Amino acid sequence: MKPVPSEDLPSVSEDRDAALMAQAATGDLSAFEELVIRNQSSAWALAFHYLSDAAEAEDIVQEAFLRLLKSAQRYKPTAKFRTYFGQIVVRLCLDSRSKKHPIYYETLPEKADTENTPDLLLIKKETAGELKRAFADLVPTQRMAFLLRHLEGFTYSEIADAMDISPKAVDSLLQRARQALRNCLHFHSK
Amino acid sequence: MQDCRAIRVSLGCYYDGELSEPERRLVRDHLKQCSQCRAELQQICEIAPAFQEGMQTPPTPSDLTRKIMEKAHRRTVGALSWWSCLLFWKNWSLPMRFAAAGVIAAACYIGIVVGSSSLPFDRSATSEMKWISMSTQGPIVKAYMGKDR
Repeated sequence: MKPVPSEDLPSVSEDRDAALMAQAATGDLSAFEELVIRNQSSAWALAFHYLSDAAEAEDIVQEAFLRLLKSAQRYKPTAKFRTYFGQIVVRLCLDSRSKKHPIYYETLPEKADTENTPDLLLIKKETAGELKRAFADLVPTQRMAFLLRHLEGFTYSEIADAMDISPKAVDSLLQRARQALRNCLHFHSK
Repeated sequence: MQDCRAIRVSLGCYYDGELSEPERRLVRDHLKQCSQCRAELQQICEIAPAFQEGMQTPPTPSDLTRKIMEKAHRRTVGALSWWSCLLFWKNWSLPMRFAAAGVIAAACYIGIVVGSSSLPFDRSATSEMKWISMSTQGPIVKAYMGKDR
């Protein structure tokens, strides 16, 4: 499934987020609550897959929203809300990961699958496991760029803004990430 | 071969829709003739779905919104208690502000004058006070005060 480029998405959602930010800047906490409800799942998914630790991801998401509220008065609607908020989440994730530890993916829940035969299921499970390990072995910045692209559907320029790097550097990070994951998939398909 | 190398570098961007129209056309034309680059693109196309299928996101914690809002309330109320004092002052008209400032200044002046006149600053005043208190106290206090002298 190819992510939909953000330019193709209706801007209604962005407009709503920007309006809610403006209301939150005046101290309207019900507007802020709506903003939280609208954006928490994407922030959660990004933080969880990057950190692979539910407790830590929850802390990051909470802190990200509190920082968002703190900076609401400085927010200009000229900046895309999701890039603006993405930047806060990305920085918190990268800072958190630079402080510590390896990643463990063993705690991830497995989805029940009734459609596939046991053999196919086993192959898929093995491939998924390999892919998770290959993903965990990626350099943190490669992992983040890959998640922003394939989980959040960010464009290269949005990733560049969120990670504070050039679009060319984004391309390079994605190429390396894809190469590593492709090797893993290719190895498994043989 | 050189052609293939240049094309393969851009296959990721091609897949992500990040190439300009002329670049896109160039890659598309090359793919029509080159089966190896087509196979390479096919592999790139497989990564994202495999990733999305393999990486399952657990549901967002049910109490996440509540926790965020509790913290937000705490921080906002803390900030508002200071800010509301300022807002209170800012909302007053100029004469009201002058009147309030006058009342505060008068209260301060009265406080200073009354305080300074009632406090014993020198020794003689202190001894006078002791004399007064001795004359008004009972025998035990008088004895104690006399001993103290």
